[in-house]
Amino acid sequence: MTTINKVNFDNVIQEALIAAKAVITDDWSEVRDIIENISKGLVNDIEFIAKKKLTGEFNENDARVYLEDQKMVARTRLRSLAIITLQIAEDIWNAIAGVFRTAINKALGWAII
Amino acid sequence: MGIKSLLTAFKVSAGARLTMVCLLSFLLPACTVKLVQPYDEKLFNDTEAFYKKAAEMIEQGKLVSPVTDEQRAEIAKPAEHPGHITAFEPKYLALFLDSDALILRAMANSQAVDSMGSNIQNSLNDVIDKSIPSSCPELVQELGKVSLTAMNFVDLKCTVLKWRDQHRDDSFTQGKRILKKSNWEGRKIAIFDTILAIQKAEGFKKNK
Repeated sequence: MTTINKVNFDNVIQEALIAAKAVITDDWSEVRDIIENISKGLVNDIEFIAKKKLTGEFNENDARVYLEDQKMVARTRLRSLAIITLQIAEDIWNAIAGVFRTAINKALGWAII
Repeated sequence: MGIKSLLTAFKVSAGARLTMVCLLSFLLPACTVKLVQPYDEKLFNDTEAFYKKAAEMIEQGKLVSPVTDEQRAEIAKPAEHPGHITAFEPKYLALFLDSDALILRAMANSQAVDSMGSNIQNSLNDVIDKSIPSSCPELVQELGKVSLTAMNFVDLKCTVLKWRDQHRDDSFTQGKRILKKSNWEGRKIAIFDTILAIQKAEGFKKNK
């Protein structure tokens, strides 16, 4: 156990973990939504093409062009997932940093961080 | 005063000093981490406005376009048809201008990201480019390294550029330069899914 000026850093680590966990729990639904959208999107694409082929509204070129559009959608979905994940990483990092910042300033007796 | 001399001044134990040095070394550069660009209300609203404009063009296209190849083949004077490319050129142009404005706005706002965030974002963009290459590599090349958010709008512009190319393409439109209703329906799905993904990511930052 590392205690400096009555600040127990084992407890600080636990507080940091709790702060990080709170971020993950709050934001998991957003990540899940995007992943579900990607999965459902692939199924919907195939259904759409099959339906249009059956009704004679799509020829092979139409299907190719449609999938070209969907390729760009997939890029955007991946990037958006990355943005959300990075935002969560930033929140976790800052939550942990916040806990340690308070503890270190208290341990040293100076507001240096 | 350095971290080491600061801790010496406090006369703390060697073990505790080591822990503190590690913590301080870890935390000092990390105090103000900014991995993603901040939420931008105007960018969010302008993206929604872009969707409305694109959706309006698509709905018009659906209304006036033939359903099958056979119906399209029967159009005797394609240049006079309301679904002809000439009727849609101004609408594509308006969308290009709007997407350029969105790219500019996103690029200007990306300055808030720190160097670590920029490096991570560049790496992620590279991975995505290698996994699913862009339909407009020249556009990506022209703009160089941009943030994930800005790249989403670059891809949005690419999508609209490709739409115009398809509409102008004699081979794709069987010499008529008129799309079919189902092409517009496919575009509606693509633009809806694209804007939804963009807004999910940008909106997520709103309460941060």
